[in-house]
Amino acid sequence: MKNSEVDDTFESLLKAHARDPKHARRLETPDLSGKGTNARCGDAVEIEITLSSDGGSVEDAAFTAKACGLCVASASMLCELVHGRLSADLDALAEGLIAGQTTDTNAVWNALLAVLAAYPQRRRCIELPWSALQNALRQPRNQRMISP
Amino acid sequence: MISEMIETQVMPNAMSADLPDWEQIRLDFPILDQKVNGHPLIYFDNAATSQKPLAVIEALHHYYVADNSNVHRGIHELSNRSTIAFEAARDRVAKFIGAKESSEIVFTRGTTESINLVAQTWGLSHVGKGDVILLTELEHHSNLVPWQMLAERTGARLRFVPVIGDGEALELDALESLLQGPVKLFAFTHISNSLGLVNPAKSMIAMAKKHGVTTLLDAAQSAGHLPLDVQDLECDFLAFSAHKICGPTGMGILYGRKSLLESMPPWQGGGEMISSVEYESSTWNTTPHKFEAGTPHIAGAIGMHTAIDYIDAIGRQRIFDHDQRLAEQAVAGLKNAVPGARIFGPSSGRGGVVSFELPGIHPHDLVTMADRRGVALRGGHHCTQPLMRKFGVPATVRASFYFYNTPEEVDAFVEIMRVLYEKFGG
Repeated sequence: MKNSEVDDTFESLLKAHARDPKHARRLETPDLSGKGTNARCGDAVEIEITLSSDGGSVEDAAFTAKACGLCVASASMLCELVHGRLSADLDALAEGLIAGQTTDTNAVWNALLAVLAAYPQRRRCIELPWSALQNALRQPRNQRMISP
Repeated sequence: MISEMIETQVMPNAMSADLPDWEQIRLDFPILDQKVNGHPLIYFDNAATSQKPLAVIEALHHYYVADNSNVHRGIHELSNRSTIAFEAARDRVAKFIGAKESSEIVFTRGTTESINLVAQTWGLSHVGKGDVILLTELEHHSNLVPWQMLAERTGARLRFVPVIGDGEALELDALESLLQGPVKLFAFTHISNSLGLVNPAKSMIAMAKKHGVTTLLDAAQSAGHLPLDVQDLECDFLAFSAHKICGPTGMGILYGRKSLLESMPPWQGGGEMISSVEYESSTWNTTPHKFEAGTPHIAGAIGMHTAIDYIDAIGRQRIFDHDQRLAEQAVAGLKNAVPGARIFGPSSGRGGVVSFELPGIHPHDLVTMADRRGVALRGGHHCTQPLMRKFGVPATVRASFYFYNTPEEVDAFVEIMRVLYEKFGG
């Protein structure tokens, strides 16, 4: 990617997601929720997910964040990307994205990877929402999930 | 002093006139003449580390090409040359900060190691349970964490001189009462790395002395920016790093009043710091060598010597005035270009550091976008996390200046901040 393309990518990311995050809200009755914090910079993200009535897939996803624009963009994209996915696949998806190995051709993700290539020191900003998702998957699910 | 025998005149470019020609001086720093991400580099991260003039790079080169050898105890010619140059650097540092004797200068890896040395030698032998170590809320982690570690080991307590507002000043009215009681040490920064606040070190030290409190001055941000005289300041310890004053990294200074250094136990054990060694026990070398175990950073000392010659040829007061002008220009420019910009630090008399926040743009994103335009800033807590928490911000953006920076660069920086704010701020 050329220099000017990295600039455009990063800045359009910030504009599209950080300045106007699509999924920045609280869910009324989330089935899963998990937090991620970066002690080094103080960034904090919480991911919330509502599952389908059988618990098999993601019905809705949202986040709240006190974080930099890159982290917010990553959280916003996460919510977009998990929507409709099988809940059993979420952990592998998070693993894959943290490792930068995904077959997904999501444009936002590709943009984040391009920024990461130029700024490896900001890896944690991009990873944080995904580790929050992994924390959510490790938490016990709330009552609505247990009683079908 | 040995240094007088071998002192070389390292004149910056165009320093023959009374007033320095800043544009010519800049030519001594070829690193500044490059493009970063397609834009001319504007290096405003001088509080983290300064750039090195050709004279310093050449001194390092010469040492490794012509004189490299281990110091002390060697009988051969190269060892003799290295030892003379190494000890000449010590003499030069003593002169640079007005120390009475060269034996009061201990070579370390940097400010952090200097402070740790004091904490682990003087501290462990002078600070006990219930004693107080007085610091300020401004301190860099390097002048905070070593004292936390000492307090944990000894049962001592930490107390802090508060900061007023967004870093306007220290609350010096509180100092007198904070110095009362079992206070053993007052350690504080001369110029705050995250705010540019210049503390009135001399009067603060005088007040501590009145209460019989030992003092340590963290001069990391002041040694290369302000004239310093430890005898005039009357501080007991002073610490700084070579890399922030145009010298090499990995090289630092601890000044200690001779009687104090002599009363302190050695720190690390090994070669050089001993007088004689038996299988079961050893006796220690004299000050400062008893604090310098192992092969030191010889090239670092030699490079630092040249760096000191270089900046003294310009003059530290001139450097301070120059940096202050740039800082004031940046503050005025930011206020004008970005309504609502939050600028930390004192409203007047600041050193060459401007820490700020633009509404609606996270510091880390701002620094990344500035870098895309060739401007090297720093975004983060600047190793002062408790201070950031006090201000209620995760981080700030910091622009820090040195004598090779120009008013044109400040204008370009302000314009870039304006553009980024208009695009992403609010």
